Amino acid sequence: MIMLENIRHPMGELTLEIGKLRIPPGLTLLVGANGAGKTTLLELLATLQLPRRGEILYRQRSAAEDLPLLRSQIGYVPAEIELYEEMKVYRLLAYLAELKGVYHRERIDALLSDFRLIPYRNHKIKLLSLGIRRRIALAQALLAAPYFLFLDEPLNAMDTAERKMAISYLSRYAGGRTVIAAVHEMNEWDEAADHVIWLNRGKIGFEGGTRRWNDELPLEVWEGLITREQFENCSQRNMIHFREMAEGIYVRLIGGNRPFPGLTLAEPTLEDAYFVRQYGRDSVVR
Amino acid sequence: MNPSIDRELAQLEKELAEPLRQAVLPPPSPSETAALIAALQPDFDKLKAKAVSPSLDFNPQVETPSLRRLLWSQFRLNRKSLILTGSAVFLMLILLIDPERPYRIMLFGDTIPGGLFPIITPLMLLASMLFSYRSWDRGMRAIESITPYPPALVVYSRMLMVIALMLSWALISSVVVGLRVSWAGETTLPFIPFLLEWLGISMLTAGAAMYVLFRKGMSLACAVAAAAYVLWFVLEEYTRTHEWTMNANAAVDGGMLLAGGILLLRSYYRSLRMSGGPDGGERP
Repeated sequence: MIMLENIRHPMGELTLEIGKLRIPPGLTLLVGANGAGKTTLLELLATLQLPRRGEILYRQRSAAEDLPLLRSQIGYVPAEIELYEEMKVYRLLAYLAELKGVYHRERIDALLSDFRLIPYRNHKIKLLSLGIRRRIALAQALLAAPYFLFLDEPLNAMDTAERKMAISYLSRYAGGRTVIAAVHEMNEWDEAADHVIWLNRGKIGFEGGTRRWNDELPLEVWEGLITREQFENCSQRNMIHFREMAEGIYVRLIGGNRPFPGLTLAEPTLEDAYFVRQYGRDSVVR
Repeated sequence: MNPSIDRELAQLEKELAEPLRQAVLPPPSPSETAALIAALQPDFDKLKAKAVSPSLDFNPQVETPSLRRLLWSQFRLNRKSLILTGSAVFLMLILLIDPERPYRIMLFGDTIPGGLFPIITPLMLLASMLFSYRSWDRGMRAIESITPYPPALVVYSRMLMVIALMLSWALISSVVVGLRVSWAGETTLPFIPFLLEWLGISMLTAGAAMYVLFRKGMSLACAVAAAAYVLWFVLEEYTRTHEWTMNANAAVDGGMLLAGGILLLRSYYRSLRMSGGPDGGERP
């Protein structure tokens, strides 16, 4: 359990303000528009910055009093990272392991295997694709098998297979530990995520389980085929997505009542709920 | 009981009733109780959380940090660039000094044997410290700072490794220069004063830079090291014009060497105590 109390921390023009937040063990998705404060919050959690005001307690420990202990239990992946390009994969992981005080080579081997990096073990970083580099960045955060894992857009640059593999791994890893991932694409985490924190302009807009994230929506999600004329009269603010087809336009949109006769009720996804919360709603038909 | 005493007691009770009523505080109103509970709620929550979740322990996967291990890993990180540049510079120095006339390449006349060494070595040292003091990439700096070591100790070990490497290069080069001069047979090189000459100023600049780095940051550290370097030039000019003996010069150089060593040692203890990185780069 991580407890944040009365946090106030400047971040450019906005201020991150969190009155009270409890983050339970499990996999938590941190969502919000660009500039909402996700990276700042992760940096605070990862002890890279101290909050200007307020306190963060990690299972009763605070960074001010137990920094080495806490850092022994924290893994962090920044959104942007340029790994040392001249180093080979194994050498880089060994170096970072030594910095973290981990001297068991078996741990590096296990992570190379888990993240399917064995074929690249002796490759220089500069020769690898961005997706593979991202897998290495993830692996380094897990070197000490930390209790807390903070990930800033961990799936950046990964292809579909890599994303699935990473999500599956993180989901299993989060059992009994606390993993917080700032993400933009939520649906792929649907099966894995336990909690959601939505940051809106530096403030907590929602915090709770994924079920409540979807259930508390005041609107319903509709999908189906509509005509071009109907589409033109439809408010784009409510449109989650659409696809042009020969017979018309296939849409997925939000609305209170059935906006058009051809539409059927759809199961809302995490992304739908985010869409509604972040961008609000409009009357479906103009 | 005596009825008069009863009456007196009743009278006393009656007289004291009002003053006592005023002295005793009225019971709190429901709104005051609610406000008190609200004010205490954060502490109740903390107590509740303490009861629910056990305290976090030091990661059992992580071994006790040691400076030796840190030095070794930092050496392996930077060895290629530092060995290559160091070898190039010191090879150049060796070749620049004519073994038959080692006193000719002097900045201040012929009092400084192999005079390029004390000029180049501190500069090389400072440049290497600047180059390797921290990673250029913000992301790498972030993940390198999340370690159970005091963050400043990681920087200290990196700097110490750079200093040790550069001084080793200079030492090897000095031996080579000494051998070349000896083989040339034209003159003899007073090896200990020669060593002390470049070692003294190199250690002093490095020690001053490290001492200030862990107190005021890298920019000021470079400025102070540069000031020490310039002052050394002034001192050299002074000793030359006042014709100090070689022993007196060696004593001054020895003093600088000692001062540099003490500053390095104090920086080490300082780095252990710091909760943040130097220069405010990584916090806390």
